[in-house]
Parts: sequence; structure tokens; C-alpha cells
Amino acid sequence: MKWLARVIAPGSISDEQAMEDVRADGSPASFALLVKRWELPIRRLCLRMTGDAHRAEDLAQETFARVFASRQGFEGDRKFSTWIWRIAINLCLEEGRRRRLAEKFQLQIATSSRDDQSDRQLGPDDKASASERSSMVHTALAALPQAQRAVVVLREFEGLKFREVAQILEIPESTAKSRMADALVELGRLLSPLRDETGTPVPRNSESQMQRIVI
Amino acid sequence: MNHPTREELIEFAYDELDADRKATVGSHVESCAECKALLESWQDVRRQLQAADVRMPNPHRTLTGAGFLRGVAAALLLIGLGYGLARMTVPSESRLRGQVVSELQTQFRDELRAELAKFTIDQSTREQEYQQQTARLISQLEIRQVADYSGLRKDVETVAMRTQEEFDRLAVADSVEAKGTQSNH
Repeated sequence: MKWLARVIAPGSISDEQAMEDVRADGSPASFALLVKRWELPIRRLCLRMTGDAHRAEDLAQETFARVFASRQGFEGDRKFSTWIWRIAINLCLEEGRRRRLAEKFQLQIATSSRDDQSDRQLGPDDKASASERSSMVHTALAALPQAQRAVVVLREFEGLKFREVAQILEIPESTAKSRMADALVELGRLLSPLRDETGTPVPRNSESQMQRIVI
Repeated sequence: MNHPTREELIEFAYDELDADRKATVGSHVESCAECKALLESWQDVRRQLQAADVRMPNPHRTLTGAGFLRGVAAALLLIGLGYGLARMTVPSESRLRGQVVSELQTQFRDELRAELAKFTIDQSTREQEYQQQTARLISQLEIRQVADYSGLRKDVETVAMRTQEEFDRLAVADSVEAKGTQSNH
């Protein structure tokens, strides 16, 4: 009669119980329940990691496919949330690595034909509009090392505690904290052209931003 | 008082310290310009991050849309576990999944079959072409050989004729000479 409880009061069972059902007999009702509960958070996580809605959608779908495919690997005494976050973030990191590799290759080719006019910079009197500012933030986030970005997304945006962040990323808690601090310092540097110690203003153009990183 | 560690400061920024340590770090930050500046720069970045965070589309419109599940099914097929989803037997959603999976499977099978058929056709056409080409080459070779032989025969005949003519001429010359010698005597 387990399934009856699922149908009548789906809210009453925990994620862990639902996943246990999926693990035991591939229960479609429980899997549907998990997808319903987690689709949006996972898509949001992937969007924050990739900054691209289409890639986020693909990665979210792949996450649920992986959840189902590796259902036997779920351990009942662990938190489902930690498990699914880990699957999703690992997929994002993997995809990010592939992309960065491809981008680096393309940029190395493109660097020779670099157009300096595209290098418009933020001067002291320049007032960036809200959307410009926002896209600068996204550019800066994209420029972070992936490991730092993952911590920023989980701690700052998803609001998880450092302990959980460390569990998801399978790193020591102290590493998670120092990555967060590193990320905030780096973001501060990228976002404050006036306070930049090196004296190089942050380029507004995302492509030249990437070139700076490659070089 | 000593500066808090960077770790402690970041925990302070995210309000993850217990009450005692929070009070200690808090009072230090109030009196230490260096730590205060660092903390403020972090808070500044955090404000910018929050302001620029992604806006998700309306959840009610997109939540567990058929499209999303279809994507999950497709992704599962890609990692070779479509079977599990096809088995599912819950009302509307799983019927949809089953449909999608079997549709994808049929499509895949059809495409595979078409591809195989094309390959087979390609293969037999190529074989035919090869045979035709070979036949053409052989017949060309034969024609050439016949031509060669006939050419050779003509040459031989010519040589033979010339030789005959030469013999004849020599014979005539001999007889004339013989006559001449006879008349001189």
C-alpha cells in the first residue's frame, strides 16, 4: 500500500524515501515526484553554473537521467539533496572543462586577429547601467576558476552551509571556505576597475576578458 | 587582539559562527580597519552578485513540463537505460514516457535500417561498377591485342614481301651477270 500513500499524500514522504523506492524497484511514481520537486532547483543551479539557459536545460535533464541510471548507488542513510547536487554540479564542471578547453583553443587562434577597438574600457566617469553592471558580474563569474565558481553558486546563491558545500564537492570544509574567500577577492578585483591594484581597468567586452585570462 | 583567520572572517560574513566566536570576531572587526575593509569589500561583491543573479522563468509555467521529461527520457536513452523508463506504468506521465521511448526506439531502428539498406545498396552498386569497369578494361585490352597482332602480321607480311622482292631482284641481277660473262667469252 506504499504507492497509495504516494498518490494520496505525495508531500508526506521524504526525498530519501522516494529515492529508496526508485532504487528498490524503479518506482515511476516516486521518480516523478523527485523530478517535480527538484526540477527547478537543479535547472537554476545549472543556469548559475553555465550562465546559459539551453545548456542548463540539457544539463538538468542529464542530471535526472543520471539519478535514475545510478539509482543503485544511492545510499539510504545519505541526504538525497547532497547526492543530486553533487551529480548536477559534477556534470556542470565536466561540461565546463570541455567548453573551456574548446574556448581556449579558439581564442588562441582568434588572438592573432584581435581587434583593439572592441576593448572599450570602463573609465572613472563611466556609469554602468543596471543591465551592464549585471552582465559585468556574469562575465566576472564566468572568468572564475570552475572550482571557485561552484562554491560561489552553492554558498552564495543556493544558500547552503559550508559543511554541505564541502560534502557536495567532496573537499574539506576549510578548502570550501578559502575558495569562497578567494572568489570574493577575485570578483572584487574584476568588478572594481578603479580599485584595481594592477591599474588595468576591467574590459567591458567579454571576449577580451577571456583573452586576458588565456594570456 | 589577533586578527581572525580568513576562514573565520568568511564564516562571519556568512553568519556561520557560533554566538561566542561571532561576538569576538564582530568586536575585532569594529576596531580593525584592515579586517573591516576586507569584510566590506566582500559584502560589496555579495550585493552585486545578488543583484545580478539569474531570474528563473515562472515555475508554474515550466515545472515538470512534458518537454523536460522527454529530455530526461532522451538523456536516459543516450546512456543506454531507456529500458527502465519504458517499463514505467504510472498514468499520464509514464504513458508519455513510454510513448516517447518507444517512438525514439522506432525512429532509431528505422534510421538504422535505412542506413544499413543504403550501405548495402552502396556496396552492390560499387561492386557492379567495379565489375563493369573490369569488363571494359578487358575488352579494351582484347581490342588492343587484336590490333597489335594485326599490326605485327602486317609488318611481318611487309618484311616477307620485301625479302621476296629482294631475292627476285638478286636473282635477276645474277642471271644478267651470268649472261654478260657468257657473252664476253
